[in-house]
Amino acid sequence: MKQIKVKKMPYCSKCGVEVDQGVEKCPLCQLPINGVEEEAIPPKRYPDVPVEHPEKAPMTTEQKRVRAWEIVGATLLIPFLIVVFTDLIVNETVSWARFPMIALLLAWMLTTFPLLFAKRPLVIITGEVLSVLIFLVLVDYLHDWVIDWFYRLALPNLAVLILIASAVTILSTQAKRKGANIAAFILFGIGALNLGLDLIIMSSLAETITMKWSLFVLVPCFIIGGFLLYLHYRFKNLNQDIKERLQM
Amino acid sequence: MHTEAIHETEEIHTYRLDNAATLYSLASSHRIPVMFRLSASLVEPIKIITLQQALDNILVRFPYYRVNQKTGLFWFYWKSNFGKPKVIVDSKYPCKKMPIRKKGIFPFRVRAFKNRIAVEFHHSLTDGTGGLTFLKALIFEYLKLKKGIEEDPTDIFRPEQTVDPEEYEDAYKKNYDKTYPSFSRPSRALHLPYKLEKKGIYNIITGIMPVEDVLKLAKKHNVTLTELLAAVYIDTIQEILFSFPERKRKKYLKPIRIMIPVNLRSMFPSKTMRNFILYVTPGIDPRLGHHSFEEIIKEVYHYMRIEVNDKYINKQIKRNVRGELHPLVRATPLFIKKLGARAVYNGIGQNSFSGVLTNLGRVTFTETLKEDILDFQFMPSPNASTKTSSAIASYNGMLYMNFGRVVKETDVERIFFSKLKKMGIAVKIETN
Repeated sequence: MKQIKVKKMPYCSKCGVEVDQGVEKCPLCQLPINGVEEEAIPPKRYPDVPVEHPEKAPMTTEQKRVRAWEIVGATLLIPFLIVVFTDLIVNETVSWARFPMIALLLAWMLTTFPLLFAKRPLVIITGEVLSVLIFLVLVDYLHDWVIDWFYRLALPNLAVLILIASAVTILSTQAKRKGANIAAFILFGIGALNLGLDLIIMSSLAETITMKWSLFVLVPCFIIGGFLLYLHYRFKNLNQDIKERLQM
Repeated sequence: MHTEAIHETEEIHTYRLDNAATLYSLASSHRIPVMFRLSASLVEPIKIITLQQALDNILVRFPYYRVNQKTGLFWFYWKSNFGKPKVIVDSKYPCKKMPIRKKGIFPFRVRAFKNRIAVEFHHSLTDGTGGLTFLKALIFEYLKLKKGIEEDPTDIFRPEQTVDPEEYEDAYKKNYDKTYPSFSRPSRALHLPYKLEKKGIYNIITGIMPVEDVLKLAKKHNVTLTELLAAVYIDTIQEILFSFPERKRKKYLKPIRIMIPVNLRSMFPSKTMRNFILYVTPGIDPRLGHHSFEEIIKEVYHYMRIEVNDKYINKQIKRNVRGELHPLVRATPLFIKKLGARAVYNGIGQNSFSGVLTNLGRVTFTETLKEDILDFQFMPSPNASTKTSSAIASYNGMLYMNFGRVVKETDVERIFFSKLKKMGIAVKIETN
């Protein structure tokens, strides 16, 4: 009688379960399998990668930004329409509603530039500045149908703000080693901005160029900023030292 | 069922989801994809073109599966989908969420890999019985096209047959009796505290064992095969719970229950090819102390004798259908229903059991077909609450028990199969 040779399956000595030839570890307990044949390859029961149903391709970052822009636009449109129609129904004209309308328009423009021109910082900065300028002109004009304080106050203040913000940004990005010096630059910026605002506002009100309240901001900002700069450049490993001493 | 003729031969059908399907559709997410899978390995490698042809041929016999889910104002509904579902390659991780409401998507997918055909169904479409009928029809048509089989088995759906209108029926509503008292909600059950894997990862461990040996063991304990395996499952979870340090154990000391779906077609005659299942949850209460295996077996045995009964099941039907028919629920817009659906799904189901054990039973083919089919497997849907769930099918003398888990830990499977081994069952393990 012909004898059938039964090939014994490898098994896990801990769990007692059998596994396919070539399987090196027990799928249940991860222990090495006894009696693995040297060159046996385990049968491949599933593909190596997950394969899904042909689904819609995921949105690119660009598409996500456009979608976000659409959502912001649609969301802002709702209060826009509400204020317009409320004003129209109550007063039969657009009176007070023009101010929330331009505020909502500003919000829409401020989100539009970073979402649609994400990789073009110059366009974003120009767009944002122009948006604010247009907003301020409109607020000034729509109030009494004359552009007056925009030239005297808004434009110079905005110019000072842009100049100082640019200076702080340039100084911060150019610094080889970043730390307390960035905080110092920001403090200098705050001090300078207050000084600028003070001079512009006072010259507009009193028609003389004098420094009033800004000194109380300027002096502490420059003292603290100077101290931070001293710390930063005098003690180069300050951050490390503090961390070591505090055992963080 | 609303119908509208658009073509000489094809009509658009729209019909409402059955009671279970409504809840599955509302609760479906990446974590709860409510997808189950049936697969069969053939002797020879699969020819995709032939399989695609077989799929195209049999679809006309299953018009209720040839659909796409649509969003209505108050409910989801099915609408005929005259596109052709494409056979796709199998995946490392099966049963991933399907975008069933995307235009043109069928709520099932047919996969092929080497010599295996697999169909993954969204549970809102059908249950295991419907899925099994579909896969059997697909395999038969495939083998008929490939090998020219002549026989005409009576238990397999054929494309030339007429569709019985009863196959469409919502059997839950048919058997709903509003005079019945409602089913009371069970308390919260233990959920093993494992950290979930990333979404989409679904680890499968298949235990293959001779069905005869398991039946002998079940007979020895005077229980059915499902009851025996449910008792081992409960014992496994109990062992894990009692292996926790005391403080942790006290924190998780809650009843251990296993959810066992019951095919209601055997209690309430129906030809429906849609969902017609409910479940029972035998278990133990570890707050009463450690239970011996014999005690667990006894608990499961008596519970099943009481609960698997048309009267008790009718209470569940009453609870589920009553909710759907409530005027307030009907008048609530779908988007609001969606908000509360997860809570309802967890409340009436997921929270009350610690594991899932679903048994498709013995899958049979004629002798001629058996020569071409190596195995038949059933895979449960990923379950983020129980972490691990299991599904059983037996075919040609072997029992295939698939554990699907959404966690790294293999404790449940390891202890479960080790226990079976200690009871004298030889188990072979396969994995993805």
